[in-house]
Amino acid sequence: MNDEHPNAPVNFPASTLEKSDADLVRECRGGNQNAWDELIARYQRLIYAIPRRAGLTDEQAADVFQDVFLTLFEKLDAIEHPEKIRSWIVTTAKFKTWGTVRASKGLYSPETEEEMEQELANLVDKTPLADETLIELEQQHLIRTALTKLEKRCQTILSMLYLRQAPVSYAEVAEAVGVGETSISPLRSRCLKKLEKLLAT
Amino acid sequence: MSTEKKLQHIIDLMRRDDSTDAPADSVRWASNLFRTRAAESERSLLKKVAAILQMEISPKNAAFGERSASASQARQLLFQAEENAIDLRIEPSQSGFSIRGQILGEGFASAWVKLFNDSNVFAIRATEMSEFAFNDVPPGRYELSILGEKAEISLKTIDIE
Repeated sequence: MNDEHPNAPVNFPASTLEKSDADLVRECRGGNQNAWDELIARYQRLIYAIPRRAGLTDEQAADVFQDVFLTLFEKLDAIEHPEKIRSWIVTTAKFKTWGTVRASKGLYSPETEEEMEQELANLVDKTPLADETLIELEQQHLIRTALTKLEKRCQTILSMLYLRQAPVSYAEVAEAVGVGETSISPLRSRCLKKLEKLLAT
Repeated sequence: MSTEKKLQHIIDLMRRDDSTDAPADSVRWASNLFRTRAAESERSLLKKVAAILQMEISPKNAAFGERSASASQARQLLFQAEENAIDLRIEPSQSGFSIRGQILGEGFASAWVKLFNDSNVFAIRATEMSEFAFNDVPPGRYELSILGEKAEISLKTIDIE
């Protein structure tokens, strides 16, 4: 991370947010449907976002999504580092997306990961699947996950202020959480700090 | 990076977050995919039945009077598994093969059906009429497993070619 650069990304550590991923994978290996459903719930949005961000259609993105979970299902017992399942999922979604992009252009799709990595490395324009894009998607995933661990009031305040397409006024937020409008600014700051603390642990 | 900058970075990331939930039917599909595996732990309690191929009719060698497969390019395979029979139709499609089937007899309505080999796994839930279909199946040797209420039928070798 370059601290001098104003837009340098914050590298969130593999924190407590991720600790139970390995447990989920292990439980899935034992045939636990609930663990599998929790993995889906945890990562469905991230997986779907990757092909969408690369410009694929809804239908193509849904195909990539299903393909990623089919591959996860098939390779569940072979994944060597269950604690790194998020990275595995992102990489797999990237490859599947790239394969779909190439197929839609009538181009040959590499069959192995090594071949695909080589192809990606030689790309002049990496925009659709640039590492920065994937890092940002992962960070947004971590923020969404951390947000769910905050108390309800903080979730509402931060979601209304920052996760909505249309701007929301402090008055509307105040009404939603049942406090005076002047309380929103300090509450917002406290909630943000709690979120940042969660992401840093 | 100062705390203030970190907080601003978090806000920026949230504001740029235009992700949406995956389609509900895709999420359901992913969830259902696992049900065959989830049921595996219960399989030891199930009666396992190996299906035996009784008859194969292919478009090339349909005998006189065997009309079932001769009208199309479908190969028809009939298996017997104790009191149940399985009717399979294998037909070339644009991206591989389509496999349609039906389990005849009781206990397999909405059964989980898995077609698999070392390279591919396809899993689907049969209809209430115990019908199922797989599309775009690559050629190869497969095993078909049908998980019913009280029994699991296994069709050990199905050559899709």
